Amino acid sequence: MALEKYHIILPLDRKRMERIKGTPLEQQMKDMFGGLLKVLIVEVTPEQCKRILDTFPRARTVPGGGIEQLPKAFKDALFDAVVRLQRLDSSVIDEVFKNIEEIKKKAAEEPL
Amino acid sequence: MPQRVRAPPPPHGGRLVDRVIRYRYRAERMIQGLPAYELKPTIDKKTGLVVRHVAHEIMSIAYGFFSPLEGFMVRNEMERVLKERRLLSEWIWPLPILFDISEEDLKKLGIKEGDQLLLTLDGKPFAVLDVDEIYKIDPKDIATRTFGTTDMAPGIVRINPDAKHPGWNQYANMNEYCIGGKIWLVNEPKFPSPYDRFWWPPAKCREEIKRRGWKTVIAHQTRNVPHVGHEHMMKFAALSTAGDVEPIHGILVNAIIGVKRIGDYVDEAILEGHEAVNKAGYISPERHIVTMTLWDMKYGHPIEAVLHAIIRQNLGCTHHMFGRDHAAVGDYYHEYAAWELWSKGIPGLGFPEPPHETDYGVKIIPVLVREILYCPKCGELVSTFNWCNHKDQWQRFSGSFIRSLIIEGVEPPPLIMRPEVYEVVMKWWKELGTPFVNEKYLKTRKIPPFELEPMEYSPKK
Repeated sequence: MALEKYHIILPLDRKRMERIKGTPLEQQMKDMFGGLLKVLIVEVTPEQCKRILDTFPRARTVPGGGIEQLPKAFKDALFDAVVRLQRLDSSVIDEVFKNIEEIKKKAAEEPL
Repeated sequence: MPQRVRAPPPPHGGRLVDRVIRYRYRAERMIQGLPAYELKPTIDKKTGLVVRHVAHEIMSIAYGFFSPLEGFMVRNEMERVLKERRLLSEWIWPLPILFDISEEDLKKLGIKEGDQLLLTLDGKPFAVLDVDEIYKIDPKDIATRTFGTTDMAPGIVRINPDAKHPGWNQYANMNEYCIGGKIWLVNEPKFPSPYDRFWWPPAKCREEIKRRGWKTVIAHQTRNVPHVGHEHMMKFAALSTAGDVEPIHGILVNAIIGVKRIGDYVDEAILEGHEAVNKAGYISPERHIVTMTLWDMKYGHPIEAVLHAIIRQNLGCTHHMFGRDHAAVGDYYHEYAAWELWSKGIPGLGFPEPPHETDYGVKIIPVLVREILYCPKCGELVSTFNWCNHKDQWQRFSGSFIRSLIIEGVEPPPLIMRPEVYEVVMKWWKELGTPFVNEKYLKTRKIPPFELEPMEYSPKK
């Protein structure tokens, strides 16, 4: 059953943390697993979700609306767009899709 | 009254099958002059990928994992299994175990019923098959009847299995002829590392359970590297007492090793990942054994659950964990179909009663386990059995979420994956060039994962 909204979780390792340090994004950081994992959560519309699933056959949605099993190339591009736009709403997804062909090429070189 | 079972329970069918000839001289005498047939994997005709290797089934029959089966099914037995999920001897059995062969190969061999056939692997003698019956099948019909349809079990089967269903695809790609008959394994294989550490056939496993003095043992089916949720699921299930008067004594992890699908963890990491849980002491090695069974997963959810119960009973377990989507893929079955099976039976799939509550049924006791999640309010891992009432705050750590972290190069927090388990994943990533199964791994991986010694053999002249 289609949900009204979906999301993509961007886990923050040390490198990513450095890039959002001191920006408004730092305030939007969320804790998972008792603060052991810091994440940013990007909103995704149902239409965008469908487009993502169609573009990356291994991607899947999980209960609660998360979109998982996305290529690293897509997640990296998404994080870059988040930092560039300083936003977490669905407009970031549209921004990423502007370069989707290049992302797909990179994704094809990943081990999976 | 609590239900008392004591490990090891009787094997399914009452006797542990052992079809292994361990004396070289006897084996060599047995194979002389027999026509030889080189075993071939089942190939998906569309993709060209290997979807099954019958050598896995030969091993599981010969070493007793599939007791009481002593060989491949004859037509009547296959038909009874498809209709009633029972062998001709009455014992419950969930799916056909078939030795398929092409018409062309049959003609080349020129064999007839009553003959014996030497089965070779990489040109080396491996097993002998009694040719009790040669019969024709309709592979797609067998595939469909094995896994059921939405008409047969409405609500349980949600989508009719098709070519995207790995189990259906295995049967559908079989050859059009089958040979039914008993087998003898004539050349005991050698497993390379790390598989050798996890090869505990039923007789050896039962001895180990006795040696450890375990009175109850719970089986954990796996085809995954364990995350902490899996670990806690095992601990919660073991602590549940499961109808006995004290917690379960031992946990037996049994990994299914066989043909893989793209995106699966590699087998080496699955086995060593589970081993890391006990080596690092998260579960005491005194209470935890990691073992494997050779079998190409059929992803038959409730159907496969019965086979898992039989295998683990034969290994000596008294209890078996069954969770949501047990041995499932996609949305073919209701996510709790296995629970329905063990609670009420699924008449439409040939199980009018739960398979452990029927004559000639399994003796292992099912334990229906809940998903484990993190509750930030409680600050701990909780079960979905509603012991904690902060449902809106629960955080899932699905396998796919952890895979995403790994792919992104983010080490999962120790609360969701133990660092020692992560190290194992990284080790095999380095070794094989990928943390998960990809096309390259599928093409280069040795199936089956063992070696045979050469044997003296003169073929039929």
